[in-house]
Amino acid sequence: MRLELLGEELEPDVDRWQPLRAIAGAYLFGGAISLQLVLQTRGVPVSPFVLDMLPYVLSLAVLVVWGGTGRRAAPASLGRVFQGSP
Amino acid sequence: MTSNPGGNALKARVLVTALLAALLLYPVVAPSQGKLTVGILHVGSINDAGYNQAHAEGIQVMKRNLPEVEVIEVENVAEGADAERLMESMIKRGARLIIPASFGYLEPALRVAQRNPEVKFAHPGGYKRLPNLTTYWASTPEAFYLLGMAAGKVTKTNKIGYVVALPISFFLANVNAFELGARSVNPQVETRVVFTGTFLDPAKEATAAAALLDQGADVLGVIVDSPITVVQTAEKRGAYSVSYHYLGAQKFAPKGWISGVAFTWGSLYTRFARQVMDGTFKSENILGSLNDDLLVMAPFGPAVPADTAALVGARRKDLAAGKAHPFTGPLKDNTGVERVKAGEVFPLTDLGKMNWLVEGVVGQPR
Repeated sequence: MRLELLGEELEPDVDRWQPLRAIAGAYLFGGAISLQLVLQTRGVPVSPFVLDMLPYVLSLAVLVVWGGTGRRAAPASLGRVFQGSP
Repeated sequence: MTSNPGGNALKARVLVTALLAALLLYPVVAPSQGKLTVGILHVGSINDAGYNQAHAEGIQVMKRNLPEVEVIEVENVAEGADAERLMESMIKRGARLIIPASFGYLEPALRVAQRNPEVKFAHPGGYKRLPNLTTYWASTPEAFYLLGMAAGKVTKTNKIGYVVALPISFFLANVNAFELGARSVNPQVETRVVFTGTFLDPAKEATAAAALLDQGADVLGVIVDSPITVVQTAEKRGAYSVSYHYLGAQKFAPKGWISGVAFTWGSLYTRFARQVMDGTFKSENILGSLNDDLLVMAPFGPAVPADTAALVGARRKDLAAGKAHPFTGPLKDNTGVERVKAGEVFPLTDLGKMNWLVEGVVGQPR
């Protein structure tokens, strides 16, 4: 698919910047917070400080596995200066 | 002297400007004479039915007792540079007594107090003092022991859940005292504790409370800044609750309310203000208890039968008279290690060293 903005062609690398995936990520993060609280109520023999790290460790893992560069990175256009019409 | 004829006119203009400025600034910088201004900083909302509202109500009581005292009250002040700036600005506005009402204001308050030796400070729950900075708090384990007795009699599932901010020693001591009180009337009681990792996060508190109820708990307790979320979650699910910090939390649980431990700072704040006005303020380490008017047990709710109320009342007298102690040995922690030998007690002055959870509590103390 060809994307164009103000006559300039955009690089078609927006596939990782989708709101639906962001929602899925938010559920993953929130779910991890809930999970660590539930694990505490079950008497899991792990420090509450370590359990509290779970959502952040999980986020890092997701970034390491699916973050990447090139097509997986943030849209290159985000790094360009926006020049509106006068 | 001057050969410049405009020099005098310039001097006169500078003089007039300086005079005007002095007149404008006078009411701002001049200390209020004979009248006291009190500044109080809250870390959260004064409508939290918890930690902050207890302090705010203390100030209201002080205002009723001493109507001539003026109050500068600010909510939701971040702990750190913001608090320091605000205290300095309160002093510029004439405050001569400042109550930085959160543990995290200790270091900023110490810095401001050192720079302003003529201003008096009262800081809650701290461990450092200055000649013009006094510290105050109230010892809570005995009250939590009594709460535990009432809850131990009310529970039917023998499972109680506690939502606690952080595993710090004073909170562990409260949970331990609660479990020991509950077990003194009902040896089957198990207390499950969840640490949310923060002093206020209603979403986490609601999740933790619901998870504890799902595990079969029918009584919930709470040690975070605002008890509202946990008490309401219990009420919605038809469970009972024991509260902390503020008496007014009872309105959130008309049916399931058992009781609560609450701070009542009004008489102390009145005393501080009087001391500053008559020049008798001195730096002290004030620690209240159920035996004075800084800490109270909330009235029992409809869930508590009369014989239980009488039992708790009798034990309260024994605790006050020194005939009973919440941490009487032998006590083991929840990994089986002996912590208090038979015939000994864990002194209430050593609570800062209580880094374990007593047998019967499910949870990790660190």
